[in-house]
Amino acid sequence: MLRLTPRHADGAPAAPSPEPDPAALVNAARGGDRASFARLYHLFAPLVHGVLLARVRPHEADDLMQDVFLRAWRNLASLRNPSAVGAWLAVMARRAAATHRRTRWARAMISLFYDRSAAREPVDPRPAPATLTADEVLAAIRSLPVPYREALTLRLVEQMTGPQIAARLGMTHGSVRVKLCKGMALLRAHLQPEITP
Amino acid sequence: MNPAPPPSPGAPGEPHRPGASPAPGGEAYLWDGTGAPDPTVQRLEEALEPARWRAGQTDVRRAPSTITRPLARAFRPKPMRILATAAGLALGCAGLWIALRPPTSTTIVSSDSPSWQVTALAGAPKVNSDIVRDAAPVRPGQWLTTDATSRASLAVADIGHVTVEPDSRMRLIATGTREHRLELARGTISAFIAAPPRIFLVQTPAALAVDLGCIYTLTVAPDGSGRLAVQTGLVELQRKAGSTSPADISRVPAGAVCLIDPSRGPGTPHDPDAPAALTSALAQFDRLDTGAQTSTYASRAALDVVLAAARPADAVTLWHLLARVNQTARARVVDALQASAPAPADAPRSEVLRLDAPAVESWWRSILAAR
Repeated sequence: MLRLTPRHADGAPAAPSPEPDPAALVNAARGGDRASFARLYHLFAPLVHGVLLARVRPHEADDLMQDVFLRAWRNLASLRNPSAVGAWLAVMARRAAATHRRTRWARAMISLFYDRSAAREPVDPRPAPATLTADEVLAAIRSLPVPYREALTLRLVEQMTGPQIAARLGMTHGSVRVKLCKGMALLRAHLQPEITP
Repeated sequence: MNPAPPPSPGAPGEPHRPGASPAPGGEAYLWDGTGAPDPTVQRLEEALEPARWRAGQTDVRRAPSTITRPLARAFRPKPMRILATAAGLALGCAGLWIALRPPTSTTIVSSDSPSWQVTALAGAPKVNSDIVRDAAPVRPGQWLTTDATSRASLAVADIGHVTVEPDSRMRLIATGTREHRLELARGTISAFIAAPPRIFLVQTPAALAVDLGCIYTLTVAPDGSGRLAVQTGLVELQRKAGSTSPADISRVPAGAVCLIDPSRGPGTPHDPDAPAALTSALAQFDRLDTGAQTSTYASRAALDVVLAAARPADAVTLWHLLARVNQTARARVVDALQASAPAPADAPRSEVLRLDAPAVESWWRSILAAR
């Protein structure tokens, strides 16, 4: 059973470990402190990964992660409000995904000039399992209206809570709650046959 | 027949009210992992577990598999592949032609024009006359309206979001890489923008709010009056669009508010916790301010009260008054500002008195840094 809230052996919620102050990490990283940037990376990697997953396939999200954080490292000085670094990174992730999708056709054209066996992803000869796969669920999430995708990937994939999503993206709890609830309702309807116990 | 179960506290999707009963078990688990686990959510979490980010998995870029073979061997053009490529190029050229052709004069809003996504948070917001059930696009020229019971969330392209409160009416004017502009005819919006400055603009009947990277709440009454409260960052309110005159610009930093008069535009920013004597005198001063630095008995009297009541936290107010009074009164404003927030070395009194731009700007930066 997956649990979002760390708990003691008796089931009581454990006190969450204090999070570093993102603004302080940004200010330190601006001064060239790579260790602080590394901490920023680990703090916001789930957010960036979830935002990317809402728009592109998992292997593409993994590739784009580096692009986003490399760009963030180079442009930290342009961040006017260090406490909004989460929303700033989310913007960069959305743009990276949009650029990647726009150039997808060009990459597809280029791949036609290569041996198709090299371009094709390996096919698993075993019969498809009866259970849902991550790719299937993510494809279903990406088919939903845009406002719901991020909230769902951040909650269901990256295991961020609603309050954490709101804090990272600078949204109100009410807005995130609506997107989670309505998005989940649409996702249930989309996957109804597969997820019916 | 069994009685109907009591209604669950808080219907799914409604904002959680502080102090209210906890959300139903399934929704609570979806929200923050507490309460009885939702079996469907759990199943999805387990299915998605392989896709979760883990430290180390993205530390090294994976090379695309298509470029691992030597080019001479990899390049094997075959007839069908050549035809497919030619067809793709033809389609691409056609698409480029369609995108670049000049728009017809009757095309104001088309299904292909860029749009923002609006999500209904409560009630039934409308895009023009269409009710937004869950989510819908808003395109340039279209009005988003909320009634007394509805709220909406608007994604501002990919740079942030705007929450539209009840009884509001706003229109998307333009959205593009260099500018995102909307018009707030009435009501209240809260904006959270993470973008370079001067990309997100909000027009009201009497002012233009220029985002400089911030979070703020802007309210416009039906008569065009308004109030801007900035939570983080900085917003610039322009009395006359494009004017660079200090008297026409109100800079509202985090923690400050600024009132907007329907006929005169933005007033002087102030601390919301400023003494009542200061805020009422400031309001009177702003009412009498013609933008020409003229001085009447009433405006001098109002200025006297402001200067007497000003605290160190009112440095932003005093700085704005520098450009809104004549030279005679400016010396007194400089003295009051000096007591609140001493001028930096590169802002000598003589240069500030004649409104030398570099000196005045240096003092502004010093005031912001001290907040």
